[in-house]
Amino acid sequence: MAKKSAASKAKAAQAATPSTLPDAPSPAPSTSALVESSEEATPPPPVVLPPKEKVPKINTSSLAELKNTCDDVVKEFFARPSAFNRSHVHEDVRLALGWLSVAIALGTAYYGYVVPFEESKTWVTIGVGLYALLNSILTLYSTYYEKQIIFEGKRRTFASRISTERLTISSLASSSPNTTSLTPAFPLSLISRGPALPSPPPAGTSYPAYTLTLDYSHSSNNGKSIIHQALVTKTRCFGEFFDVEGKLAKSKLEAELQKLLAEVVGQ
Amino acid sequence: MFSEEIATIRRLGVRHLLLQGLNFAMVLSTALMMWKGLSIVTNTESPIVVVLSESMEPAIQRGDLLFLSMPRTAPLALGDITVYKIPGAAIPIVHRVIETHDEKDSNEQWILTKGDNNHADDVGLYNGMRYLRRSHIVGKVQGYVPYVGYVTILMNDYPKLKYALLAVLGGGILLQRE
Repeated sequence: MAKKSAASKAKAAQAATPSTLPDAPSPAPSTSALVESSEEATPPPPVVLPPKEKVPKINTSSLAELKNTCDDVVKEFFARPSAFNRSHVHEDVRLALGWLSVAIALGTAYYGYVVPFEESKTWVTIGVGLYALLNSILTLYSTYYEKQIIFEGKRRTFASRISTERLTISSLASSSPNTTSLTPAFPLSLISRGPALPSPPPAGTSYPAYTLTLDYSHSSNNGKSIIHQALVTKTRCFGEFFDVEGKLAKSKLEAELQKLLAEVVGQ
Repeated sequence: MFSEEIATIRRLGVRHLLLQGLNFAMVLSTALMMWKGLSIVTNTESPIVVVLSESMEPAIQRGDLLFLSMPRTAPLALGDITVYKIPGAAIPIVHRVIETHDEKDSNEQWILTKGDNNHADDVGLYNGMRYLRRSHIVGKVQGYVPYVGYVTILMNDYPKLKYALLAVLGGGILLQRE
C-alpha cells in the first residue's frame, strides 16, 4: 500500500523517489503507473515556425533608397481597404504626360529615320519642341503642385451624417540639416541649395532623418462644416527602423504610423 | 520560378510597373530627342561622326571624332573640310574642298574635293559625276576631338562589345530607382 501511494506521488511529482527505484521489485500496477508518469514526462513536441519571410536588404547609404522604402510602407499602410481610399491623380498625370512624350519621341525618331533629312526637318523640329514642352510641364507639375506629397486619400463615413475625411501625407528625407532629398544632384548643388525646408527639424534629431507631415481634415456637408482638422509633423531617424544590413523592421514603422494616425485623427 | 516576382508585381500594382517602365523609357527618349535636337540645330543629319580612314592625315587621324554643322545660306569656301555622301555609296567621306564654282543667283555650288593624304582628287569616287552639289554635302567640320572615336571603331569591329555595353547600361538603369 505504501508503494501504491508512493507510485501515485511519483505520478504527481514526476520524480521517482529512492524507495521505488529498482532495488525493490515493484508490483505490476505501480510499474505501469510509473511507466505512465514517465511517458507524461517526455519533452513537448518541437514548435514548427512558419518559413522566414525574405526581407529585402537596401543600401542604407543611399538617401533615395531609404526614403523610397519608407514611402512604400507608408502608402501601403494608409491605403489598406479599412483605412483610406487612395487618390492616384498625381501618378496618373505623371504617367499620362510621360508616356505621351515617349510616344511623341518614338514617332519623331521613326519619321526622321524614314524621311530624308531635308524634308523631315519641319516635323522633327515640331516633335522635339513638343517633347521639351511636355517634359517641362511634367517637371513644373511635380515641383510646384505635387511637391513632397506621397499619399492622398479620402474616407467617407455614413454615420449620423455623411462626412468625408481627407488625409495628405508628405515625406522628406534629410541626410544633414542642410541636405535633403530635395537638394539637387552634384553639378547643380554647387549653384542652388534647393527649396528650403518647410520647418526646421527639432533639436536633437539624429541623421539621416525621415520627416512625415500628415494633413488631416474631417468635414461634412460638402466641406462646409469642419469637424476636425490637424497637421502633424514628426521626424524620426532612419536608424530606428533599419538594421545594419539594410533590412526594414516593418512592424516598428507601422506602429509609429498607427500612433501618428491616432494623433492626427484626434483620438 | 517567377511566382515570387509575379506575386510582387501583383502586390505593387500595374501603376508601379508603368512608372518603372516610364523611368526607363524616359532615359531612352531623352537621349533620342537630344540627338534629334542637335541635328536640327546644326542642320545636318549626323552632327557627330568618326573618321575611319587615313586619307586626311596629318590634319585628321583615324579615330578622331568630328563635329559637323551645315551652313544654311553661307557658301562653302576653299579649304573647308567637308563630309559628303555619294548616292549609291555606303559610307560618307571626309575630305577638303579644293574647288568651288558658285551659281550667281542661288545658293547652289559645284564642289570638288580631295583628301590631303591622297595623290588624286575625288572624281573617281563621285560615281560618274564631275562635281559635287550642295545636296551631297552632309556638313562642314567645325571642330574635332582626337582618339575618342576609337570606341566606335572597336564596337563596329567587335559587335559583341556593343551588346555587352547595352546590357550593362540597360541593367543599371532598370535596377535604379530615383
